[in-house]
Amino acid sequence: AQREADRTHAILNAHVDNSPLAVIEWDDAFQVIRWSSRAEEVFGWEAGEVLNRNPRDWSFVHEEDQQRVAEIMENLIQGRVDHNFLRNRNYTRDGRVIFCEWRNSALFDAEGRLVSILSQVQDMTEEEEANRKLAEYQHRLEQKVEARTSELSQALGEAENSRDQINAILDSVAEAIIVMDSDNKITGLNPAAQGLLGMDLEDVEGRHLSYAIRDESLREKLSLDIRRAGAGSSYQFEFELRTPGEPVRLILARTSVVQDAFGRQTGVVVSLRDITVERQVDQMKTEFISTAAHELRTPLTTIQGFSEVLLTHQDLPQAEVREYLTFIHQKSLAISTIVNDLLDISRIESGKGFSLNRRVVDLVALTRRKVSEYKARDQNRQIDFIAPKGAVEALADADKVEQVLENILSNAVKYTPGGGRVSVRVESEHDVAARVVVEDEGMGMSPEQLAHVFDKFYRGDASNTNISGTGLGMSIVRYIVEAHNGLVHVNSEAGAGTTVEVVLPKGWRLPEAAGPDHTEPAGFQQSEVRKEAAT
Amino acid sequence: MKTILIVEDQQEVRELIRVTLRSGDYDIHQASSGREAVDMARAIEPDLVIMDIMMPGEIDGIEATRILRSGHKGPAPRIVMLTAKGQQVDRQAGMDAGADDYFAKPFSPLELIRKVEHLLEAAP
Repeated sequence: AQREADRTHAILNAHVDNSPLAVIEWDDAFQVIRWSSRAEEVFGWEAGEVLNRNPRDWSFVHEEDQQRVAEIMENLIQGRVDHNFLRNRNYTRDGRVIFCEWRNSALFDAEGRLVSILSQVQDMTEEEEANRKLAEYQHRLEQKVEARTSELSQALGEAENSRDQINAILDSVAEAIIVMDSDNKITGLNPAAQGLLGMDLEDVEGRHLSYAIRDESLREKLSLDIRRAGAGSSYQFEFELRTPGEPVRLILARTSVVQDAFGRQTGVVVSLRDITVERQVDQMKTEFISTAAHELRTPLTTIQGFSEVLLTHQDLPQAEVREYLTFIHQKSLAISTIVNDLLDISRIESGKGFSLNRRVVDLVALTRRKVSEYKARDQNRQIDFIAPKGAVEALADADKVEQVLENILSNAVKYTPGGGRVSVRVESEHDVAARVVVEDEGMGMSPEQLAHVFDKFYRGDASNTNISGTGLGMSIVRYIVEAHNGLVHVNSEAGAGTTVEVVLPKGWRLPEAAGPDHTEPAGFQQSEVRKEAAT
Repeated sequence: MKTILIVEDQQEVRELIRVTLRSGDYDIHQASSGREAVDMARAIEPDLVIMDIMMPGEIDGIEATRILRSGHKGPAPRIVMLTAKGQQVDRQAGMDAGADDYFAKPFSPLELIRKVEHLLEAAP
């Protein structure tokens, strides 16, 4: 029986040593009583070094795990459980930290006393390392995902910003812009386009162009066939936009193909510009050139014709020669006036303006002379002249003021047919301003004509070809008067006559400086200015 | 003696045409508006009318030409229009209204004489 027992014991010991797990047996005082060869391999200590030692006595369990291990093992020692399972860190003989999985079971005798504890230990360090790496990898992955997500949301934000910026630009341009996709469905419509077409973006977004533009031929022109259109192709055309209850507007449309970064044609942008006013101005200029040419040709007919008569007829009576020369002279003066008007307006247009040569000018004398000229030209014309006895002086360019008077008087005479009365008044407005008023009893102007009286090239009744003129006279008048810091005012009633009032500041005292608190004698001020003007 | 009616609103131009044509053997009459021209033509039955196109009043040269052409009894006058150079539209309108020829301002008096003589020779 003893041999049989010894054999069984030997077999058991062999099994313990052959186990792939480290096997350690502890006695009731938790001292090592068995330490398998696998335990020697795992932990480094040989059995002889640890037998009869409690793990508290040598550096075996990792400090941070000692408390937990002790608590769990106490349950086993006290018999509250018959086995347990724990994973903790241990030290090896050479001081490395290894991860170990412990399977412990307790054996009690018949009286319930603890006989021994058997521990089977597996070194889990490699697995733990793999887990740690996995966790680390997972963590890095999460970080990457997070970073990518944030990049994407930033890119999305940037895209939104640039879209907002593009929208803001589109919203602020004066041109109407329609954006369409490759199927001619409207994807964008800026406020100018909404105003021009009279529809909201919400109404037309995603809808086919045909919904917004009813006119079929116009629609065809607008919706460029982008399959056939070349890269970056665009073309422009004009069309008339007819809105019920509104005047017809002339629109310049430019249609361009939109390409993405890969050169794919993704849509069409149409810009629409209202060129009604531009075209009107163009037309006015064309008409003006034709008018000016006609205005020059009429006196030229007289000059050319009579000079030829004088050259071919040597034997004309002296009186006739004189009469024809007078015609020629008068018409050459008329041409000179037209040319001067043209040069003036060209100077004004180009922004060069006038240079004013200001001196103290007596408006009474100047106006009287001009009126006499007109009376001499047409004996039948009645022109009343009303002025104070003394001088009415203004600091002004005498030549320019004469031009103003010429333009206003010629209008008054021209538009007062049949020898109707024209009256000219010169007045002094305190010491501040000088005023010239030209009043006629002529055909007058409608409110519509009056509204355009200072417009360049505007002629009250362009169809009335009898009344000549370039339509520049009053524009030049206003320019000259305003250059003098003066004012020009026109009052008119169709059929009743026209009154033109020119106010020029006297110059040696600015109008705003004048007031009841002004105590210095005007004469003193006046002489000061005379000195200045003379230098 | 052939009768010529000059219709022109500008006195100088009227005078120029009169002076130009006075060396010929013509009975010259003058009108300064379309209305006056129509009335006068009925009274004097001219052989030739020199008609300015641009004239004030309700009847311009083109309208006066049309009236002379449509309502005229007896031998129709030759009508030569005075147009401004470059006014092709007016010229065409005048020819459509029934004018025989046109003359552009500014013109040479000698050329005017030749044109008038030519038109009167061709007259029926």
